[in-house]
Amino acid sequence: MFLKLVWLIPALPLLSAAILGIFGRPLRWSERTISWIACGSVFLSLVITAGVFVQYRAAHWPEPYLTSEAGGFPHSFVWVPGGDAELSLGPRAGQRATFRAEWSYQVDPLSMVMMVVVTLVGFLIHVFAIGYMRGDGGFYRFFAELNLFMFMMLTLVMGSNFLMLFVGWEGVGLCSYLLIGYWFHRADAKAASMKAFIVNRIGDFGFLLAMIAVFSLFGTLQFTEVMRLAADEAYLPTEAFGMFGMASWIALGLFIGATGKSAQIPLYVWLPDAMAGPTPVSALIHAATMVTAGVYMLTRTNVIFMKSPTMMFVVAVIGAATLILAAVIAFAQTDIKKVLAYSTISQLGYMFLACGVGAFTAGIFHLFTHAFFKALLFLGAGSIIIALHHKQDMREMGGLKSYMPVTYWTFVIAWLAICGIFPLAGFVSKDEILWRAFTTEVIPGGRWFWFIGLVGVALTAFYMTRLMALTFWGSPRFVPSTQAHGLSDEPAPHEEPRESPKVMTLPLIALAVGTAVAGFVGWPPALGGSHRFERWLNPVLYRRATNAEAMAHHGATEYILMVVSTLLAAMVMAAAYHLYIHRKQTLQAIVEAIRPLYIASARKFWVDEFYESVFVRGLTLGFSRVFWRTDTRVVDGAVNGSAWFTRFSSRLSGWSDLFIVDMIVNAIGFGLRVFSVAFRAAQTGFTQNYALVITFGLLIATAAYFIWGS
Amino acid sequence: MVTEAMWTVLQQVPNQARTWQGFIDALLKKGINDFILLSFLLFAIGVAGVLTRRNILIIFMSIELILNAANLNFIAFTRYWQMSGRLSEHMGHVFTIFIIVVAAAEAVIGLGIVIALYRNRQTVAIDEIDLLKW
Repeated sequence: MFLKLVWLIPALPLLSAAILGIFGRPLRWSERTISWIACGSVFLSLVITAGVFVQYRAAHWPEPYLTSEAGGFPHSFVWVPGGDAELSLGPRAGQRATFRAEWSYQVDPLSMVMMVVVTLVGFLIHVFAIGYMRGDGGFYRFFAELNLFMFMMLTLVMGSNFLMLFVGWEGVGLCSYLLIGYWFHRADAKAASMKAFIVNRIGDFGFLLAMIAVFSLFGTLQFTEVMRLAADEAYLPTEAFGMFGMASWIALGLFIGATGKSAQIPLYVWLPDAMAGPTPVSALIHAATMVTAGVYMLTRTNVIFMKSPTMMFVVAVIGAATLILAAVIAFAQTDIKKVLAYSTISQLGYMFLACGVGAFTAGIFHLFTHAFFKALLFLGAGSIIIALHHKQDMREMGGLKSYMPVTYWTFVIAWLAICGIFPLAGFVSKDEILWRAFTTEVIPGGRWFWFIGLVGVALTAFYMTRLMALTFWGSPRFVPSTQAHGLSDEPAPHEEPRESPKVMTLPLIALAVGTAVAGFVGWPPALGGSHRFERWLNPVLYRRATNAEAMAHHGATEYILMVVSTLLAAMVMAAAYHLYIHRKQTLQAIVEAIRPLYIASARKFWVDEFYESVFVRGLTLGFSRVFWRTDTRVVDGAVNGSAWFTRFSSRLSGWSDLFIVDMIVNAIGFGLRVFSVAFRAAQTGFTQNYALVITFGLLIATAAYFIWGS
Repeated sequence: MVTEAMWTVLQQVPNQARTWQGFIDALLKKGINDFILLSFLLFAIGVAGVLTRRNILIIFMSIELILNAANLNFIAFTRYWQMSGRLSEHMGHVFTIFIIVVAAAEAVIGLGIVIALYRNRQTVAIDEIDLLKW
C-alpha cells in the first residue's frame, strides 16, 4: 500500500510549497497555520517514507522498485518523449536509440537511505525553524521555499534517471540560492546567493556534459539500464590506473558536478559564504542534505567510477585535500557558522575520500551519520544565535553552558560524534572510512590516504573543541546589549541569554538521540556488529572480483587503527581544552609563533582573493579589456569606416535624389494634378451623388443586358 | 382591387391549406410576374428613398427595403422553381437568411456610426456630411 504512495513523498512538500507561496501572503495566515501546513506535509512524507521502507524491505529488497515498471503506480509518465538519436560513442556507435525520459521514481537501497535522511532530518529542521524564524516578516516565504527544497531534494534522490536527478540537482541549487538570499536586503546575503549559484553552475556544466556522454554511449538515461550496461566489461572496459578513457571522461564530468554541489576543491568557496542564510537553511541545505548530493551521485554512478581507477584516485586526492584544507581554515574562523561550514566541507572531503578508495558504502554511511550530527551542530548554533540576538562571533560568546543546558548537552553529543569518540555515530562511520582507505585495493597509496584522514581526525578534534571552548566553556564575554542586534524587531531585552523554547530544543534532543544511535545501523563486524548498512547497500554497488575479500578480512590491524584514531582524537581534544581554558598564555604564544600560518588560516588561504584576482578580475576583466580593445579598434573602426562610406554615398544619392528622382517625381505629380482637375469635380462628397452614380450604373448594366445579353 | 384579387385567390385555396405557404403557393400558381412586380416596386421605392432623402435614418430604412426586395425575389423564385420541379435545393432560403442576418448586423453598426456622428456633428442630414471629398 505504501509503495503505491511513493509519488506522494515529493508531491506533498511541493503542494505545501505551492499553497504557502500562493496563499500565505494574500490570506495573511498566522505563523501557526503556516507551520502546521509546512511541517505537516513533511511529516506525512516522513510517515510514508517509513512505510515504504518497511514494505520495500519486506517485499522487494534487493531489487529496485521502479514505479514505471511496477504497474500500480498511477503517476509515472513519459516526461520527455524524444525522437531517435544516433549514438556516437562506444561499441554501439552509429546505431540509433530513442531518447525517452520518464518521470518515475526509483526505490532502491541507496535512494531509501537518502529519503530517510532527507525526510527525517528535514522534518526536525522544519520544526526547529518554527522557533528560529518567529517574528520574521517572510515566514510564509521561508517555509514555502524550504518545502520547495524538500521536493527538489526528494526528486533528486528518488528520480529513476539522470534527467530527473538533474532536475532535482538544479532545483536544490535554485532553492539554495533563494534561501541563502532569504534576507535579500543584506548585501552579503545577496552576494553569497549569487556566488553559490554561479559556482554551482560551473559544476553543473560538467554534469551536463557527462549526462550527454552517458546518453551518447548507452542510449538511455535510466539508472538501472545504464548501470547494467556499464557493468558489462565488453561495453565499458575497466581501465588501467593512469589510463584516461571513456569511463574516465564520463566520471570526470560527473565529478566536476559533484565538486560544485558538494563543495570540494576547487569549487568549495560558495559554501562558507552560504552561511548568510538563516541557520535552519544552513543546517538542512548546506550541511545535512543538499551538499551531500554529490556523494549520492557518485554512489549512484559507482559502476562508471569503478571502471576508472584514475578518476577514483582523483576523487580520493580531492577529497583528502579538501578535508585537510577546510579543517585548517576552520582553525582561525571566529564566526560560529563559518567554523561549522568549513567543518562540513571537511566532512564532505571524508565522504569523497571514501568514494575514491572504493568504499561507497562508507561514504554513504558517513553521509547518513553526518546528516544527524552536523544538523545538530548547526541547530545548536542557531539556538545560540537566537539566544544572543543574532550575534555569531565566537569572541563574544563563552560560558553559555550554564545559560543553555539543553543546547549545551545536545551540542556535546554532536561534538563527541564529529570528533569520532566511541560509540557515537561519527566514530563508526569515520573509522569505517579510515579502515577502508587503509585496505583499499582500488587505487594505490591507500595508507597515505589513511594517514591524511588521521590528520583530519586530529584537526577536526581541535577546531571542534576550540568551538566548544569559545562558546560554552570559560567565562562569558558577551555584553548584555541595550540595543537590538541583527534582524529581530523585538526590543532587545536587557537580560541574560535564555534557553530556547521547546519547539527548538525538541528537534535538538531528537537529533542528539539520532546522533547517538545512528552508528549502530552500520556497526562493524570487528566490534561484534554485522555491517547491516553495507549489506543493505550492496545491491546498488558494483564490485570487482579483487575487492570481494577486503570486507571479510579484518583483524588486529583494524582494532589498532580504531584505537589510534580514537586516542588521537581524545588527546587532541584534551590538549585543546587545556589550551583554551587553562593556558591562554601558551595559546597566545603558539599563535604568535605561527602567526603567518594563523593569518593564512583566518584569511582562508586567500583562496577567495585568488579566485577574485585570477578568475573574476584576471580572466573576466582581462577578457573584457581585450574585448574593449577589439571594440574600440576593430568594431569601432569598422563602424566609423562604414559611417564615412555612408556619408559619402549619401551625398551622392542626395544629389541624384535632388536632380533626378525629384525631377521625375515632380513631373509625375504635376502631370497628375493637371489631369485630375476633371476627375476632382466628380468627387462632390455627397453620398447621394455616389448612390446616384451607382443607380445609373445599375440601370445601364441592366439595359446592356437586355440589349446585348443572352 | 388587390384585396378583391386576394380574396378570389383565397376562395380557390382548399381549407386545409389556408396557411401562408398555401396562400403563396396558390399565388405562385398564377405565375411569378406579380412577385417580380412587387419586388421591383419595393426596390424602386428603396432606391428613390436612398437618392432623395436627407435623413440618414430614412436612408437606412430605404436600404432595408432594397434588401427585402432582393429577399422577396429569392424566396419567390426558389419556391416557384421548386414547384415547377426545376430546383430541389433551398439555396434561395439560405441566401435570404444570410441577407437578414447581414442586414441586422449592418443596422447595428450603421446606427452606432449614426449615433457617433450625431454626437460629433449634431446632425444626421446626409448633405451636411461631405468630408469624403478628396
